[in-house]
Amino acid sequence: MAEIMKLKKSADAGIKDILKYLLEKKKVTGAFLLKKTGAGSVHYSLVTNNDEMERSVPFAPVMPENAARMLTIFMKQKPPGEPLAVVVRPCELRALVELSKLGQVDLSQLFVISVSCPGVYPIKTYLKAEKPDELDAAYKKSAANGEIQKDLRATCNACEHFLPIGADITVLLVGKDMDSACDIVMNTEKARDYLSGMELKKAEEDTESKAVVSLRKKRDAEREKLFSSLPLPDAGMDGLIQVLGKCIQCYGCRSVCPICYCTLCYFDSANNESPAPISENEAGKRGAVKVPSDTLFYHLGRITHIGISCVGCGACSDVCPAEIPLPALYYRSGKMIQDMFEYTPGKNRDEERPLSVFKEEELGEYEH
Amino acid sequence: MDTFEPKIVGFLCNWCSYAGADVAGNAKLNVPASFTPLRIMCSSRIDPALILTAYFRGADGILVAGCHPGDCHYEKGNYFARRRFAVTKNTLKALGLDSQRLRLSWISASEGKRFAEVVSEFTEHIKKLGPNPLKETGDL
Ligand code: SF4
Ligand code: SF4
Ligand code: FES
Repeated sequence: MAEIMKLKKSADAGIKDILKYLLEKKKVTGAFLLKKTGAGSVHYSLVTNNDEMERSVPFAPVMPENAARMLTIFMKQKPPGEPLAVVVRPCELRALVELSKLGQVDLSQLFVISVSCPGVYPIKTYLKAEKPDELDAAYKKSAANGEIQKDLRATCNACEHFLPIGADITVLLVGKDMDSACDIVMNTEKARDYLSGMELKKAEEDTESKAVVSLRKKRDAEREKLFSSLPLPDAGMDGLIQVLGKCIQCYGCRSVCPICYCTLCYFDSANNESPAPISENEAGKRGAVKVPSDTLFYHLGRITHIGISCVGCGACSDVCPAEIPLPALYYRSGKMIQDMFEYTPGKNRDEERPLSVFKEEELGEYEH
Repeated sequence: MDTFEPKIVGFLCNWCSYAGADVAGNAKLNVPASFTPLRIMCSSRIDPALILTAYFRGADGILVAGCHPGDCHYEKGNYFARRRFAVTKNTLKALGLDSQRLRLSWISASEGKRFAEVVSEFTEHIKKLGPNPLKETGDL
């Protein structure tokens, strides 16, 4: 059972009230959330004024960018003092925690508002919708009923961590009518302190509601389906070439990945160049080399580099022009690596990333 | 297939395994000629990308060798290396590539004999696996 504050308005309006209050009382330096920026477009924005807050759409069912990536850029040089309020989805929060472990962001400078997450639509589906209202209504309906919505991101429908871990405030969206209920859980002392001046009606409720439990079960099944949709590893090298073969190596998946934070990526570095002596030699051995080459190398390199922290947000799959099955590929391989060390990225802020620590006695089966 | 001499790339840490290779050489021990040693400062220098580069360019086998646990010149490098190696190996396996072509061994500066044995034994193992099929395709 948790103590729930009930605001009798839509989830959007309720959270905007809270943000306005925090801004007015100067508890936070700004609010970082989704805002309408033009006809049909939605972006993360740093909002500091109440009129702009009116145009914000905190729970628009889309993730134009993984907020964690934006925030590492945004939070640089933020002086100590009041935090920034951020409205993020659970996977964005988990990515933030991973990035803080990598020294890229200071979590103490954030006041985190997150949601029990019904998922998001792929960017294209959202932006190209001919009837946005219907899209919205379908989303709210499946959220209220704890249903899978087949048009959502594949990773969302397969996500097991849709209750946020470590947020100051959780807004309950799963199992709720987003148009008429803004039910929030205060998870931290900071939240209770910041909002102590607001008139909020309290109630007791189980956050593991029927809708949450049933959604979790359905998503577990979806995840199984997603993971087994790849012909790997059984199809071997040829299978892998087939899965990745269409990649045009635009590196879009890397650009939007919150975990890929390096300013100079190995794959852009001189280390990874194929000047004529190398490429002609390779072609000589093989009869030909595809250009751009090293597609498998790129993906396996990225998986070994970031798999341990992949939060399965699906940002990569949203931008891929070649429709590579990135959700299955990265989410599954990432989870395989995480399982080796019983690690859930973003779950425990105090637990180190497994590749930054070791045990003296372990992994003997890898030594010869 | 009898004439198949596996191309094996060995990443050898400067302080132990590379010195071990030297000892093997001085003692005139038999080491397969197709073994290509690469000197690195510590086994922890091995980014998965280095292993993968060798693998995709067609190395039949890849050996990463460093100081025995507890003996790393930088104290803990080989423990980190072991975790990264395990991740690399499992990634290949999970995606359907042949992870048996990767090997991790600890060889000290005095273990010339062990060095020769590890390389010979690994070479035999790779001979049984046959050539790395990745070197025949231009579609990578
Ligand atoms: S690899 Fe893809 S799913 Fe994983 S964190 Fe990066 S963008 Fe998200
Ligand atoms: S976004 Fe798609 S096409 Fe571009 S590099 Fe990634 S997998 Fe390849
Ligand atoms: S110096 Fe030999 S393994 Fe680190």
